[in-house]
Amino acid sequence: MAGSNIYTGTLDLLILQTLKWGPKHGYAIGRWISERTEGAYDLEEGVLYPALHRLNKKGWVKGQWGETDTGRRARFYSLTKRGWKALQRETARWEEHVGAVAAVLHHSGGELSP
Amino acid sequence: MKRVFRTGDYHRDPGRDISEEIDTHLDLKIEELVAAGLPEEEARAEAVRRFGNRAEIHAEATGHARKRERRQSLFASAETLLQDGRYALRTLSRAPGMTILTILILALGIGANTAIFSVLQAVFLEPLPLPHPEELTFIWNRNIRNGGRGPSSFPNYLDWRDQNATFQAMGAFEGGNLNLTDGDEPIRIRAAMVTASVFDVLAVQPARGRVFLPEEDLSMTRAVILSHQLWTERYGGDPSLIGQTIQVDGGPRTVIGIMPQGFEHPTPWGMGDPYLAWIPLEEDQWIRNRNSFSYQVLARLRPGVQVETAQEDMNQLGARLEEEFPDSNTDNRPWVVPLHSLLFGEAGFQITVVLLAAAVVLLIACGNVAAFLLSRAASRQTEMAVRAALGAGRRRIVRQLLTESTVLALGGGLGAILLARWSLDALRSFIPPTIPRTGEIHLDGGALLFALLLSLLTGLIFGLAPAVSASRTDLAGSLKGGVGLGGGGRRRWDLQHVFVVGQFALGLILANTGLLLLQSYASLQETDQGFDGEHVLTLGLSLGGDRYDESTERQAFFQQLVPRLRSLPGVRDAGATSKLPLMGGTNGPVFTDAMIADRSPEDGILTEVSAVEGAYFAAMGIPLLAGRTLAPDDDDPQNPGVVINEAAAYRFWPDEDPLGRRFSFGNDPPQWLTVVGVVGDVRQWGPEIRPQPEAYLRYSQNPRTRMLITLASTGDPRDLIRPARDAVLAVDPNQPVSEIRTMAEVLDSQLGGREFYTLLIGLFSLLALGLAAAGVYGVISYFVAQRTRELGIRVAVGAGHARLMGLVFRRAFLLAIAGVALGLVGAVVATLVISSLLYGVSPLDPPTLAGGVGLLLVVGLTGALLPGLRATRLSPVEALRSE
Repeated sequence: MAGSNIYTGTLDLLILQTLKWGPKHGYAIGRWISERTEGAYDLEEGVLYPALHRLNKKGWVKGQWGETDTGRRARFYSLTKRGWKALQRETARWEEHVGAVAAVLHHSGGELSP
Repeated sequence: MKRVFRTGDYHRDPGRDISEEIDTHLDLKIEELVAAGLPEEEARAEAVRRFGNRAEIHAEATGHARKRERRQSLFASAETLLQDGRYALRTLSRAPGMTILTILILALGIGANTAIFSVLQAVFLEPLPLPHPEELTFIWNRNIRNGGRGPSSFPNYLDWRDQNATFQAMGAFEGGNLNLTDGDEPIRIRAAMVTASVFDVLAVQPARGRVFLPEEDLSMTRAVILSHQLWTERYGGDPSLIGQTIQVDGGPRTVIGIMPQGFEHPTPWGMGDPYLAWIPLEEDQWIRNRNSFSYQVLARLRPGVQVETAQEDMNQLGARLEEEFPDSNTDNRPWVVPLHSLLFGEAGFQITVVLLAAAVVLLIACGNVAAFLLSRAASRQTEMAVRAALGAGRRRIVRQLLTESTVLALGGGLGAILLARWSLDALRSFIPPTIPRTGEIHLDGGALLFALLLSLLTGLIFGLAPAVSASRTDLAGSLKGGVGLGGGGRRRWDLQHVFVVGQFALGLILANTGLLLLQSYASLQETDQGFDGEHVLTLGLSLGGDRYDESTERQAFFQQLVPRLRSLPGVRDAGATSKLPLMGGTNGPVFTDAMIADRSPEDGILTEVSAVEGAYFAAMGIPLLAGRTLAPDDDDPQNPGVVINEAAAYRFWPDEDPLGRRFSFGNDPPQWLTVVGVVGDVRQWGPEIRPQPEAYLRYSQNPRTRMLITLASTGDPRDLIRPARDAVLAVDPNQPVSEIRTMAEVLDSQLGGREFYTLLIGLFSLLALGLAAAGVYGVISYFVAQRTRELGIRVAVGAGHARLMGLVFRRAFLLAIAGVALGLVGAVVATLVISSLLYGVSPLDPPTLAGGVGLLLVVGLTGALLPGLRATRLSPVEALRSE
């Protein structure tokens, strides 16, 4: 993925989480992510679009053209039924993964010392 | 947020949509940055920088979008198909009568094809159930002068085996019978005497124990291998049987192996009556004799070697043997035949012909259905025009109509599967045992796939013409309400003519074929086979084992048995023979006095030999034409007497009285036989093969082990089975009998194959004629309906019924004649295909062809009868009002 330094699964999860609260266009999704992560992921903003279209292809999100508050034409993305299920599944998997990594990190210090 | 949503894409090209999305993103970012205080130029540069590589991002997103789109359009077309299908079902259910009739006709056509295909599949298409079946061959010994073929001599087999360069293994065997006399009831079974290599050739492992070892060949090993069937049926599947001895032909043999279930030893003779046991070939007086041609040879090609290559190899080998052993091998060549075609080729050909006939029936049925769709299209002209006016493209309309015909065809296919299932049960019950592998006939996935493909194909065949024709609807004319008389109607009518003409052409092909086969069957039934088919019962027995080692013991057995049989109530005459009419036999070259005197020694007249006992001729119903039958003193070695048949008398001494003349089998030295009588001919090699010269010797002159009792009954021959069996057991309580048949059954079993395909093709011909009649009925009805007005005027001006009928019949007659003329060519071509199935009638038989033509004209006029009558009942007033 162009200029991305976070891995695909994480980005997908973040996008799905963003759409949990209702349809958003690409720009809004990007702002929401960078606000919540407080800039921890300094991703190039364009990276969102291939991800959105990949999720669309998978049938997890769907896009609908509409107007923004300021009257601009924009594509709004929302979660499909399958998207909701994927979000739940991926969230659970993520937490398990993080838990496992954290457990390893907390233990390893003592044992590795010479 | 004000939202006017539009699902999916905005532009047709997803790339442009994504471009717009990116532009929006950048604009919103710039707005944000400007609001935060950046000058517009700097804000733009910053937005672009933060966005990243636009081209790359655009390309990647577009790739995903395109893929999604393709998937969606696939869904969409599936949805259209579903829609078309639902619409088709609705339309078809609006005319339920015609729809059901159409589906029935199609079910009949497709079902017949599916059923026959299943038979073909089981009998012919399936490979032999042995490893690498394509390598398996059978090697005949073939006379290149007269084309005759038969088994090989054992010394020839050994030379073939050792000197060839194209086979990996070769084995020889001889078919025969064994008596099993252990246990309560003695039985006689078919068995093979084999070389150990036969099992290598077939590449088959025993299920238990072992097969013979090469060193057991001709070694007099008292070993026996049993088939799975014999092992389970006679020995209860007892696993401890291996290593035990059983009584075979009166002597003990050790069971060394059991062959696997389903294994059948392939042989061209005795199909459907498999070998149930195997013993090693034994050293005897014949096996070292290069003139004793009685050993069947199975051979396995080396991997990748073609049959043609092997044949060339064997030709050279045969030529070498001819040079080396001119006495026995002059004109003889090994002839390599793929085992599959040897075993299944003939039946496969017959069933393929039946399948072709079924295919023709289906084509004719397609004509009916197409005509039906056409006439329905006429009444739907307005609908089509409305749809076209609403913007449905021609392609869309053709597709809709094709969907309808496909739905019809699939309905027919579904019915066909049910019909095929049912008819296979019926077929199985009357398929003759001479056709191999009939036990394996069933409807499997292959047959179902065949039915499905055939349905789709027929849907296309009968649907395409009506669909294209309907889509050409003349918009303005149809909307104005004229039905049937517009340009479209005319064209449709012409098309219907084409269908009917085609149906008649195909009908003639089938009718002619059917008539030729029926005639063949009838002339075969009428052919005098030379024996009394009604009253004769035969029972086989073989006098094997120690008790019958001496030929005098065998003679004594018959001398006791025959008078006992003769005295049974209900027996008119009793005798015995070494071979039955129609069942083949043994033969040798005959030399007459004159031939020995002045011709080269090789050219004997091939003559059949029978050994007979008792009143065989009277019992078999063979008439005595001259002289007398065999008498007890005819076995006098000083002056042996012989009876010959009419064919032999004619061949040996064309212009002279044969009585008292001499001939000899072989000429080195001649052993003279004096003719004491001449009897009528019987057909020896099958009901379709002319009688060959034959010599009848007394049993004592040629005391074989295998004989067949022949009884002529005064009543039903089957009533004699039990008394005859008891009579045999009274002479020898350990002597089993087998092959209990009436001569009528022997004849029927030989005619069974012909009966089978003649019946089926006859049935298909009738079906074809019925469908053709229905086709004419349809088109002539349409003709009458269309001309109602004209016919009404004719009635008004005084045309009588005869005149009107004449008008209608003329139309039908013209159609039939056109079709029949077209069909003549096809009928002639078809007879070339089936010429090998004909008997007693020439393939180009003008009376038969004329009969077929007459039949079809009658069919044409029959089909026109109802519409014609309808025309005569027209009331002129109503007719004139009709439009």
